[in-house]
Amino acid sequence: MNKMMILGSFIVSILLINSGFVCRSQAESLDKQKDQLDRVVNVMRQELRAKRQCVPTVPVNIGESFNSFVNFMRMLKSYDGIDMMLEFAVKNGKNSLEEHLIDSGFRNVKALPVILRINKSSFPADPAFFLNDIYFLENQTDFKVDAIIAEDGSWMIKGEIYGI
Amino acid sequence: MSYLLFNNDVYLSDGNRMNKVKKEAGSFRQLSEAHLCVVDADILIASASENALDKKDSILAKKFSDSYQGEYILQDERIDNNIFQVIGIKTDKVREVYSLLSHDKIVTFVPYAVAARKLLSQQRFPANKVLVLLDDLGSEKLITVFKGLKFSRTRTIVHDKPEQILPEIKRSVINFEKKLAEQKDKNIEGLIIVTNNKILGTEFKEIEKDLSVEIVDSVCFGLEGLRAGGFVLKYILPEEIIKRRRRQESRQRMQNLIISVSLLVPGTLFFFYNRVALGAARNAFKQEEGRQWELEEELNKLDPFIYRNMLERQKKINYALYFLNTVNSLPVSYEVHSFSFERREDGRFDLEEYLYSQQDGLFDPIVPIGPLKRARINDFLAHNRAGKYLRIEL
Repeated sequence: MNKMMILGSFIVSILLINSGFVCRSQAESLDKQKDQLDRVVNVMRQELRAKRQCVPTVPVNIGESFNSFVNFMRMLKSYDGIDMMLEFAVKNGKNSLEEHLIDSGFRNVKALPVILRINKSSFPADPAFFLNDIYFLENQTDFKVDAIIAEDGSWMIKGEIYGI
Repeated sequence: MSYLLFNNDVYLSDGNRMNKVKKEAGSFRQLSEAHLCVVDADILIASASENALDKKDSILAKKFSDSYQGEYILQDERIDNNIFQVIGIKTDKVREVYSLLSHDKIVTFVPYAVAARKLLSQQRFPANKVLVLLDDLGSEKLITVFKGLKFSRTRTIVHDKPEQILPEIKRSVINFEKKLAEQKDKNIEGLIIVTNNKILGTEFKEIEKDLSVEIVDSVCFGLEGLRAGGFVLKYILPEEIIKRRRRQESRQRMQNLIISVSLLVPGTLFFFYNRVALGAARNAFKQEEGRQWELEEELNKLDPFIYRNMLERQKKINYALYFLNTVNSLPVSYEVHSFSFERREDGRFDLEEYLYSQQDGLFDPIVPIGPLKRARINDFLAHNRAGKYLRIEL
């Protein structure tokens, strides 16, 4: 009976020590995860601090942004005679804007990746003239240029239209 | 150290002198350690199997109770193969002794005959002879008959005259020999009377000339035997045995409890320490998760209102200006074959230009002025035509 009690205590003690080690390993794992989370939270704080410096503006629907961009394209064509063709950056055989929307990097804001191609026949004599148009287009709409490539007389402007 | 003999009276010896004391608790109060013997004991020689030790005691007790009525405390000693001498002292007698002297004071508690036998064993008498011990205590005389380890019940007589004592001795011897005969012990070669009374011893010889009498110089055989010590037997009250057993059990239980607790404590402490640490880690993690969630919510609400402002900040670059500045900084002999503005991951642009010379492969040196100060210029060959590659990080 007494030996059983000592043996029982020994076994219980071993089980408790084992459980202690399990708890310790879980605590260590949680500590590591918390450290990672700490870093994420710090980055988010910095992001928030930076974003609070921005002037708030009324968000625009992605459809409206797209229409606005197309209207400016037409306007530039009518002014300068440059014939621009707009196409989706990713060709998935679907025409709906919704099917082409991607994550913009801003929360709750979508991006529509597009490519602008310039017809060779309407290519400007002075590239600066057209570059100025792109600058204007970018400034007047929610379009952001990612790349302008002029090669062998063909122009291609890659970019994204933003909206909610 | 004190030596006591309990009979009708109590005899106390300090090792030198012997006194008769009253049977009162006060008489023994000053004693610290006592070795005592009790005269009043009943003896039974009985057989029991030595191999079955657990049954031996019950067999001997049963045989003793068949011979003697009343409540006894028994002790036994091995006499021969499977033969035991059971010595019983009445429980009341033992209780009376313990009422006068506490348990912790009594070191030795044996029957008188056992104590006296110890002294006789030192005198080296022949083992096959019957010894009659006549112990003269003054007012009373004790007669005990011995043969080897066996002994008779001790009788107390108050006679003083040898012609009265001698028949008592003979009666004791006859009774003892009867008992030996019952045990089939017939190896008896005469008897010796051993006494501490020189006068009586001499008178016995005068009465019976062929009687062997030995005079031993001793105040009391029992008390002297107690002094020799080394007794295995000790009479203890059953309740004291139970008390001691309980005390030992309780000590053992306590010991086991301490061992068990000692085994459990480190495990329990280790577990709880780590359990608390885990709880703290969980709380800290949840708090951090809460903070992240709050920030996420805040950013989710904020982003739709600031993305246009951020876009404006990111895209403020006048491509035409940069392009013209670069081209105007180059020697006039260069023509731009192709160019590109490409946004890097940090949001800024790289301007790349591929230049050819209008002078049949002769390149004017490019002076690092204006935006060309930051330009990286390399040579290239494409379609069998050499040119310059220029890259500026805007």
